[in-house]
Amino acid sequence: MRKRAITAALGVLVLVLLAGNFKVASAHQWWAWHWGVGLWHFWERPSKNLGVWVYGSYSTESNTALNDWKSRLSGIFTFTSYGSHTDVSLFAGNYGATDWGGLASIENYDYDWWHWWCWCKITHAHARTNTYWWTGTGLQGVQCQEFGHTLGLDHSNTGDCMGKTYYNTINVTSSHNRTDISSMYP
Amino acid sequence: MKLNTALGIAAAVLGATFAGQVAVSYFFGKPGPTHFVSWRHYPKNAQEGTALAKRIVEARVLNSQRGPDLVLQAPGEPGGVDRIPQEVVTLQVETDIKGAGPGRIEVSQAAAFIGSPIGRPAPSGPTPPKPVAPDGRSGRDRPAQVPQATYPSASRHVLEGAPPYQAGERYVLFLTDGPTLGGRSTHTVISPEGRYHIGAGGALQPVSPRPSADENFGTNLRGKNLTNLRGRLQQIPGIQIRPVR
Repeated sequence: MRKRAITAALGVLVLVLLAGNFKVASAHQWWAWHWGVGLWHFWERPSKNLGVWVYGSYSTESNTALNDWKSRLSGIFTFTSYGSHTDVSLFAGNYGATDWGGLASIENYDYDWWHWWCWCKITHAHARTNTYWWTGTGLQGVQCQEFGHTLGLDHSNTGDCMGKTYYNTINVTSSHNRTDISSMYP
Repeated sequence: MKLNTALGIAAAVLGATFAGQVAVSYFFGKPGPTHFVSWRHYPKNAQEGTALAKRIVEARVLNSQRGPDLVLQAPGEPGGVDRIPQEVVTLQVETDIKGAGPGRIEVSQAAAFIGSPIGRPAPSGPTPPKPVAPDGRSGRDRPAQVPQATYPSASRHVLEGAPPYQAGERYVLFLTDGPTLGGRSTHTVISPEGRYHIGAGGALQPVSPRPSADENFGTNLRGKNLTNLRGRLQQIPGIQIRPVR
């Protein structure tokens, strides 16, 4: 009986270590970037909630994009709006005649010790749109995409804003975005 | 007993391997790309690309270095600004294809730098204020960007569609007006579809990974020759290929 228990325990340990030697990729993920929230980080941030600060020009369009994501991810992820520096900064401004219309950036990151074992845990991100090129609903669509990047999503041809300027001209999220986020943040 | 011994050995080996991987990853690992660009333009064919460009050239890279950051006032951010590092590339035009202008041009693009500065001193120009660490949570936050200096390309993240330039390289570039950096006007490439590396024998390597609808434009030029692109462009009114003396 004792030997069987030891065998079973060792078997489980081997399987866990075997799995730990591999990294699992999620669908439509931007490299391995992710926030340290939810199941795999339950001791540091068990609640899948991010703070978002919207500021700058065209904040109405930026907030519309944010509210789209709030509604789309309702029940699986929440976003709290703040009036100061927090997890994600969502803003627009005139950067001049750049070759880009939107730019998402990971401004700070940390080592993920418990899930991916890489320098891939986002601790602060920016989602920005260049108002030199975009205003109105077009700006909303770009903000929708850039905000999706700050959650760790890649461009994708899934009939939503994550494909804007690459595959379509859509300015809103889709059910596929919810599926992707669900798989990335169990 | 034998099974338990075997499992024990397997667990020990896998445990050591796992610990080794984590150690290597922690001490030597680098993050992936920290910037994700959404390009303003996406020309699907040579006509669209040509229409977007004010000047099309074949040019050789003289040097590439970090330029002044693009800065936006953002009072709540650390340092009170949002900054986007820029690479500024100086090129010597060898051939004009559309338009005309100075033989020496500067092209800028967004860039993301990692690691420590190596070698040559920072370029001249306004010195940005030192970045301020953000309010921290527990853990060892590490900034994604490093202050001014000249970097070899190995210390750069490669932005998809905007890889770093290296001295000596030759490109076909579809150019338009770019941002003003530190008081200097620069050009910018219209999109990744407007940049083609010219290799030995005229072999083209397009920068864009995005699909193209034109067999002699964009990603479809991969594996083809400069003569294919020149031939395609010469079908478009207003194109006149002439060497720059």
